[in-house]
Amino acid sequence: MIGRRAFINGTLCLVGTTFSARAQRPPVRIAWLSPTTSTDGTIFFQELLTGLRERGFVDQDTAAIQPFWGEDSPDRVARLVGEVIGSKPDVIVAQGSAALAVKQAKPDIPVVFGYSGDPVQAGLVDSFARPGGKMTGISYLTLQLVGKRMELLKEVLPQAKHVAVLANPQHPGDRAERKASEDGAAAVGLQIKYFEARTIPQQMEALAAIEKAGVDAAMMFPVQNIISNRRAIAEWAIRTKTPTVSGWAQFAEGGNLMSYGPNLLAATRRLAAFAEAILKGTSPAELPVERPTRVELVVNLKAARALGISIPPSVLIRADNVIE
Amino acid sequence: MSASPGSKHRLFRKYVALIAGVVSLALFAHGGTEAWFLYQEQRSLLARVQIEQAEAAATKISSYIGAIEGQIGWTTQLPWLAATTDQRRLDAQRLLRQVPAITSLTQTDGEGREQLRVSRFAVDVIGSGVDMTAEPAVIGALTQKVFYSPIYFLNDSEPYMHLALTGPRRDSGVSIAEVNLKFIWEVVSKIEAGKMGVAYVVDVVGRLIAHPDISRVLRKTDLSGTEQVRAARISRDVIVAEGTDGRRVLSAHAPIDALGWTVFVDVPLDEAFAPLYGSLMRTGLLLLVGVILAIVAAYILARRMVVPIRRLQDGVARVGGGDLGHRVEIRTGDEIEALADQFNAMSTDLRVARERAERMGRLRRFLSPQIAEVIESSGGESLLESHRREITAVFCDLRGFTAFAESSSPEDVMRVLGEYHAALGALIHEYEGTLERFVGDGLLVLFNDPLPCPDPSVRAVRMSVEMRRAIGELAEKWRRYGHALGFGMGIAHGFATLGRIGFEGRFDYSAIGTVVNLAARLCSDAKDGEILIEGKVLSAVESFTEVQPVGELELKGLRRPVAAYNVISVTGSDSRETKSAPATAPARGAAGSSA
Repeated sequence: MIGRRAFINGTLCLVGTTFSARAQRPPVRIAWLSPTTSTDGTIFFQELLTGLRERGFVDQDTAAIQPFWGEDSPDRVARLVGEVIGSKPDVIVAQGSAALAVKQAKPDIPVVFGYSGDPVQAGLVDSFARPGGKMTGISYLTLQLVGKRMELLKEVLPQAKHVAVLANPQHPGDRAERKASEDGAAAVGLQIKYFEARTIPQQMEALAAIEKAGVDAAMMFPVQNIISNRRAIAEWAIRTKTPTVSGWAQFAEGGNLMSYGPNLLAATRRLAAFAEAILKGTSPAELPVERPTRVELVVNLKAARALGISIPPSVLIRADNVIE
Repeated sequence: MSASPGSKHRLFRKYVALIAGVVSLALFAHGGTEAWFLYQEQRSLLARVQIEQAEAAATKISSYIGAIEGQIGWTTQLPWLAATTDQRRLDAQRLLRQVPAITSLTQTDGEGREQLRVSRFAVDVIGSGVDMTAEPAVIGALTQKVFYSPIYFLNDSEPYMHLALTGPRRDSGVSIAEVNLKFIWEVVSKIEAGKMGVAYVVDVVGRLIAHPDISRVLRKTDLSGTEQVRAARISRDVIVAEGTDGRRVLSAHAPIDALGWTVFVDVPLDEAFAPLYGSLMRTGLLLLVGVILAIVAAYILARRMVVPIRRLQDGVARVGGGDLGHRVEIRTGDEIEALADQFNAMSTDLRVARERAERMGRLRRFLSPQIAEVIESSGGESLLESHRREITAVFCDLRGFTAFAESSSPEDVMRVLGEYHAALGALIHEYEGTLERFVGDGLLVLFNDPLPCPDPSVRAVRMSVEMRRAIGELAEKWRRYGHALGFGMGIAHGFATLGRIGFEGRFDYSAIGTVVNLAARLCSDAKDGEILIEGKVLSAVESFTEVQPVGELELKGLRRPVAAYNVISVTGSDSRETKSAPATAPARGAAGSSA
């Protein structure tokens, strides 16, 4: 029920767009499929719209863009894929794990993804240079940056020994990410404790478990439903005085200590370029998968104060965004 | 004169084609050379502009790399001391913050051991002490101060390069930066190369490392086989080649020597040559207008030339058709007018000649040819006007002809008449007599008219003697065929009225007067073989003529009897020394017996 209401809300904002469109020629149809709620995902959706607008779409006559929201439910995402395909869009823009759900359906529609893991490993594409199928997009480099986040934690908390890792085993790159985090932790002299949670309620249970485990800090894998739950995590972090780090800027902006990862807003806007190229006739098989060019560090000084930590200059010097 | 419809306008078409052709040829030759020079000039100008664009792009890219180099340079200024590791790490992190294209920085100490590795992606490494002296980047930096590694592709997709530097001091170590060349895209995509042109960068082996369409770079495109890249290895010239999007482009390039890269600027031909095509179009348009004008001018000119010619042609046709009075009116003031005038003069001459020929035809009927000629040449028909003159008239006919004509077949009659006329006709012509008329076997020949002659009677008598001899011979022949025909003549001299009588279409020249009647009466009284003359004739010829008086004859229609003489023969010659054929006439009695 909640899902449907959100879906209706999401589409309503486009009704005006599509209805006012003069029906001289069928407009370009783009479907946006996000695994999150519209509340969390609208910021990205808007970014895509901005990107499309920069490229001459969304002037109401040229494009009808319909969002579909997964409401943090993998089952719902799986169901939505059918609806998305049924709406016969010219191109599907799938965010995060939704790309995997779309891939399962093997649609004959080009798909542009913004995927956090390695798209080759996840089977979305054949290779970065030549995706070879119906799918292409941006890989968010998450796996690579796990070690870097451990390093940041160690720098902020030189005395830290134990770090909790919260993961979602449903994420296809989870095993690789866990391995990378172990390696990264070892490199900077940390030990990790691994916790997993498939759903948000499970996350809350995991947080309680982490609290009991007595770790010096916590690193959250930048998985969609963990990011979606960032505010609850931030509250927990402040309450338990646990410094937290993850991959998306939203995480730190939502009250957690730090995030280190690609600029997802910029990357999502870049997806519009893929949509444009495909709509202009380029085969997705020939559009190389891109990686974000910029990685940004966001430091939340407010959270730091609440946690009673001072951020060393070697970290601050690198921060692209410092939240006072 | 009759021209086929096709050939009627052939001259016109020929002129139009010739004039238009010559003028157009000149125009084309001029337009063509102008266009060619224009093309060459514009092309070299465009080529220069495009090479400058490529050079500007090369400068931008090399200064972009130069800026990175400068930033890395700061990290090599200080000598390597353990105490400054943290400081160096901060410097390295600041560098990474400053220069997004650098993904990692590795530094070695003076001995070539790795002391620091700071990365955006990987965990930093401090003081590993790994020996890097064998690394090409370290060797390169130490020998050349600045070292650029060959391009390599991360994930087989993103182009990267190592940029290694060494500081001013022996112990400042080497800084090796890993540079993500994707960032050159930001430079390349901002390079202006016309509206549709692109600037792109190719490394030393021809792989694409920067292009406004980043996906081409990420696909690890190898351009070493393209016309542009191959031509660039040989010369700096601008060439026409196939662009990266398959269209024909004008391609210029400029090398970035330090890096071994080449910057290409490809502008689609239709855009690059747009100004060229514009001027060519203008030239072509002018040419077209020129050709149209030439055709119009040729049309008018040919018309002015051909219309009079055709009028002349019509005139010739009409004159040829017999309308000799037709005149060709051409007022062009040139040779054609002169030609028309000459033609008119000629047709006038023709008309005169034809009229003369008609007159001649008339004259020849009763004059001997030579006299007709004389009359014709001496002034024409005024001689034939009615007048009075002293003439000698000779009348002759056949004896027994009526009976012969009745009893013989018409064919025989006609043959005999034919032979008779032929014999007499020749003699009339010979003695230049005027044949006044002939009716059946009867003939009247005049002398001294229409042309005067000094001795009409002499000629008349001599002719008559000749005639008697000739007919005598014929009569012998006729007799053998059983035709009994005789011949008699009468000659008189005196005044008569002469002139043309008759009506339009049938005029005769006729003599009216007693002399004619007298000659006719003498003839009818003459027996076969007799030539009867009267006194006036005799007085003219007695000196050379032997005559026999036949007494006073009572002639019908004449009040007084006339003394008549039969000419026996003529002797010798007279003053003219002409005919000296002594004809012996048979005795009057003998001749009469045979009548």
